[in-house]
Amino acid sequence: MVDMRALVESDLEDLLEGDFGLPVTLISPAGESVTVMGQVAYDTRRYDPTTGAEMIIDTPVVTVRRSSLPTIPADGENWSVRIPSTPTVTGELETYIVETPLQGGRSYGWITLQLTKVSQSV
Amino acid sequence: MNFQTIKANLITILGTGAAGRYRTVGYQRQRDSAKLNVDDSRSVQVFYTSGNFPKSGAGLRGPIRHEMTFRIELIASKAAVVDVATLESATSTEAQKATALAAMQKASSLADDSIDELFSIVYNVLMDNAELDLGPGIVAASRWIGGFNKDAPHPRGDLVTMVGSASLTCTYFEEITGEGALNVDGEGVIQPTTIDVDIVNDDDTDTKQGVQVTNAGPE
Repeated sequence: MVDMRALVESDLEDLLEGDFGLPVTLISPAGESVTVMGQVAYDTRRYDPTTGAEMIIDTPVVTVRRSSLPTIPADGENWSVRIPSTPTVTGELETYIVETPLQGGRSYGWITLQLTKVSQSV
Repeated sequence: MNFQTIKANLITILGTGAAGRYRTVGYQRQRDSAKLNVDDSRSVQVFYTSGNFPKSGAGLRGPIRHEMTFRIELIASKAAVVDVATLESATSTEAQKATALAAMQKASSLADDSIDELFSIVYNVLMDNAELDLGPGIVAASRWIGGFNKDAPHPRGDLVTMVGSASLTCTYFEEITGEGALNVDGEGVIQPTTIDVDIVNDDDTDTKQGVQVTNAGPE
């Protein structure tokens, strides 16, 4: 009999960490760094505020396998994420933080991080 | 019409009062971008949005009262603020990185402060007693900003963007100057025509007596 959980985990490894995976470095609130492979989407979205004018906004999103992380991010914690600025393994790394509440995937073993830009403090 | 002069004056007033703290846009954009509104590049858009012309006996032959509303839209975007250099340094210790993350200022908090500050600036610029008339060339009455609303921050995106809006109302008059029409070929404006009037007094028959009017064409 097929172990569906193991099959999902295997699929996640292929999908998130396979050929399309990119190196993602997470820095935990304790300052610990870990680099894993994950999917990075550099999407741009549109939304309509009440002004009537459409707003365009970049929405970088990282999806990684939970089982690859020594510590799982939780809502309200200050995490930093470094991703390549272009979708290439050798791309220059950009630093973001995780401010938006985390999204799902616990049933199937992934976690999605929506990234927020940072500027240097004085 | 005079409301166009008032709109131009509002753009000038807002532009003069900006002092590098925001950008003034004198029309309603079809699209905007979060990254164009970061920090002091936040924008103030002002445009005429509606007008009322109350009917009155005085307005039938004289100036017409124009109660006009201008919409003022504010957009501000912010990134989070953190000690990026420490987070990116290969020599930083875990403790240093933890300290940097603990001191992080969240983008949503900064964006909320930024839009509040922007409204405060714009309100004080437009409601300044020095701009009571919304001049030059105009002495508008009843200038008033009646309220301010702001949206919740958009839940997605690398920059937290806040949008707010206010309405400025005022009253002024409009003169009806008349508007020339195009000729049949769609060219130019037909000039006022001269009318030749001759008294017809044909003694042969009383049926032809009266006034003969001839359109002599443009002056």
